[in-house]
Amino acid sequence: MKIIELKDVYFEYDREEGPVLRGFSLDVDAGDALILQGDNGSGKTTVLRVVNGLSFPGQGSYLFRGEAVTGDYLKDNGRAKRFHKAIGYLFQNPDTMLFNTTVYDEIAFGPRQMGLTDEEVDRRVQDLLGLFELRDIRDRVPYHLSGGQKKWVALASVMALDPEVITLDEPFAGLDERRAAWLMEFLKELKAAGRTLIIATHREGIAEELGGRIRVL
Amino acid sequence: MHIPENYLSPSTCAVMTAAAVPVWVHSVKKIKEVLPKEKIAMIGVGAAFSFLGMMFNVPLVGGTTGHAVGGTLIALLFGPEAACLGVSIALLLQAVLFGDGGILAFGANCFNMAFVLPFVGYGVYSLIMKGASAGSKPGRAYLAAAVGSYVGICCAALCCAIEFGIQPMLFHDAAGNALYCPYDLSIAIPAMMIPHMAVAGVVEAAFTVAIYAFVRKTAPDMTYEAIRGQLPVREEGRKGHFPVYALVAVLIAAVPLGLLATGTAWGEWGADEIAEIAETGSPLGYTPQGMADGFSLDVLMPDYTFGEMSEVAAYILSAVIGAALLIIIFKLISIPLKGKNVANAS
Amino acid sequence: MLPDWMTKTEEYVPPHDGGAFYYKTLKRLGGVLSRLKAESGREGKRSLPAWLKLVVLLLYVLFLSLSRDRLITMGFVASGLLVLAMMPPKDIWSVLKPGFFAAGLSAVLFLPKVIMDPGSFMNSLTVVVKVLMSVIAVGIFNRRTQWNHVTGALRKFHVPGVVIFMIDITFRFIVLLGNLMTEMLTALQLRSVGRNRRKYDSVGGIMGTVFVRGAEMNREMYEAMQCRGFTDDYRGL
Repeated sequence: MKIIELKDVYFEYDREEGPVLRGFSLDVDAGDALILQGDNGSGKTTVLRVVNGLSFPGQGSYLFRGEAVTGDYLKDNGRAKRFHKAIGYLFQNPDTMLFNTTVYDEIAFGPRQMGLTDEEVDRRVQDLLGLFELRDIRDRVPYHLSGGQKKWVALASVMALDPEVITLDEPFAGLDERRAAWLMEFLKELKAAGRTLIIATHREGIAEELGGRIRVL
Repeated sequence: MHIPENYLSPSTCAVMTAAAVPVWVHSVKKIKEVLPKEKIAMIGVGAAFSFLGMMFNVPLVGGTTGHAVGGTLIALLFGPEAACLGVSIALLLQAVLFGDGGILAFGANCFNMAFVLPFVGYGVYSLIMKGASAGSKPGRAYLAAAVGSYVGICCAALCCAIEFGIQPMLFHDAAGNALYCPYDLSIAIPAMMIPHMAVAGVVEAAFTVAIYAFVRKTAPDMTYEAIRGQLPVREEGRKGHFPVYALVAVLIAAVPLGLLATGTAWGEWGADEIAEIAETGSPLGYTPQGMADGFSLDVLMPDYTFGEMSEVAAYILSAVIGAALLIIIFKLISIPLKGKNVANAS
Repeated sequence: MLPDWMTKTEEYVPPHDGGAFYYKTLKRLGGVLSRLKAESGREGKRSLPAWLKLVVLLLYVLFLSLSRDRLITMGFVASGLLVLAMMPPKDIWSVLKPGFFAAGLSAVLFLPKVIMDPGSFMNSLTVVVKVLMSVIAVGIFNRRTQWNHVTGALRKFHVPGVVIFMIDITFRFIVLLGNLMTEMLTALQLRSVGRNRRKYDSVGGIMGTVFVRGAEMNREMYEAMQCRGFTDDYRGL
């Protein structure tokens, strides 16, 4: 079943610089692992932004589960919440994502937005704190943490929504080998659990390990 | 023993202040050499004992009042130099915030109570303790503390009396009326010495020994002998100083007892009182000119109270403020001072 | 592949270059901003919960400023000083510094009044003391409470989510932009090996970049919030 369909998408940030995406099409089936590769500035991040409903194509269309995602479509709060709950986005720079005053609140932000009860929120956060080994720093301020810890908190806060599709922008950038290996295992487990993955990365060998396909921009 | 404003001529005040300055300079230097940093911060606790001691007024013979000073006590805890600074700053707070002791007379008051008293007191104590081996029975130390503090406060009272007594000889107007303190040595010395030797000295000795014994038992690392390595301190003795702070709290709660003594201390009358004082058999009959139009300063809490406020509450709060300020001040003083390196202490 | 000048060793003696003053000042500013840590307050093991401390602080400042009775004022002063006296020396100083500054400022403001009417000295002095004690109380609270626990405390009092959010975000931006500024100035200094006649241009460039970057971060953060289900509804925060 196709979960994400981009058809003939044109996108430009700036008229003078010309379009970043020129007639770009993409199909992703549920449970797929798609690796986006390409030089700097080739538009990997733009694709992820379009897929997450942060940018809208100038021409062409984006269908998520068969429904066209447009600015108007996301104006409805209920639909927007449902859409964003279904698709998670790990930004390249974790600083962008960390705006709460404790690690706990950071992870709890998404579930709280979903309107879960405090007990449910707490259960999810506790599980994620354990999974990402963040228990010791649960009361720290996220933006004072080290780079690797920030990335883990950001990832945990994405996973707290339990999204079906997880999009990751350069998730391996800035990680040491131990963390990178752990992340690889984590992605494999997500794939095995039937989650859809879209990963923009320069790292070699991801597609082979995950059993996914590569799309070069 | 707090000399108020205008009892001494400004020139006497200047001389006494000039005499106190080198003592202060020496004390600061010596403290930096001898005391480790955290002990400097603790002097404030000693100064708080002194401040509180001075609030316990006891009635003396002849309708006046007196009080303990505790200078020897601080000397026993942190050394005579620390006592000098501790009492000086306690006196400064009393003068500036509570109007007890004059601002101009601050130097003279410090000379008597912050220099003569602790140095004499500690000197006598050391003399008696000479040859006592470390770790011997504390009885001799308590006796030495009692004698030292008694002699110390009497010497301070004597200095004070002399300062009073020379005023009428040196400063008077054409009619022979004194400009400042009207009583000469023949009156001032017995008036100061008899009550201090009979009562205030005993109170000072009792106050000193009681608190010294308490500190020696509960926080032995807080004694000057321990700091100088003459008194062995077991490890557990170094831990908390909770009992010492508790004692400060108890003293604060008890200060209203000092209000029971109602008279004014000899030599501390206000300018409005002095004409009626009949020290020589008949009332003085005039207000010395230097007192009537001398320097005066409004202070926040004159005589530790605000006008019609509840006296007991105000007195307790004054005690809290004074003790807290002294602890804060000495903690601040300890920041820039490097203090003695503890590693070299042994 | 490399241009020929890059393959040779260069003999370089830097010309004298003065006027590092601006760099230093800006760098120090950036350093101060980035050191503003939300976690700077030290909470003891047996510390009261943050919300309770906040209540006590608010009541203290409120009643101190309202009190007309001098005995009660004195009680406030005594209790404030008592708490202060129990703190370590360094903390006392950092609490007192802003206190003295504020008290000094208000003393200067009252000076003309006291000169015109010496009878008002006591009242003016009381006000100055009140200012001093209020600032000290806030300082003690800051020293003894972590900032992030304060916003938690505010939440407990049902302060609107949007207000708390603004406080949090402001703090975060000050810290991140302070970091950015320090890093950029350091990078600039490392590259400024010789005389730079256009020093002030580059300083302007840095400030401009910090500003633009701030706006960008603001936008990105909003997007990140959207991606986690935020729909301009601050109630859930």
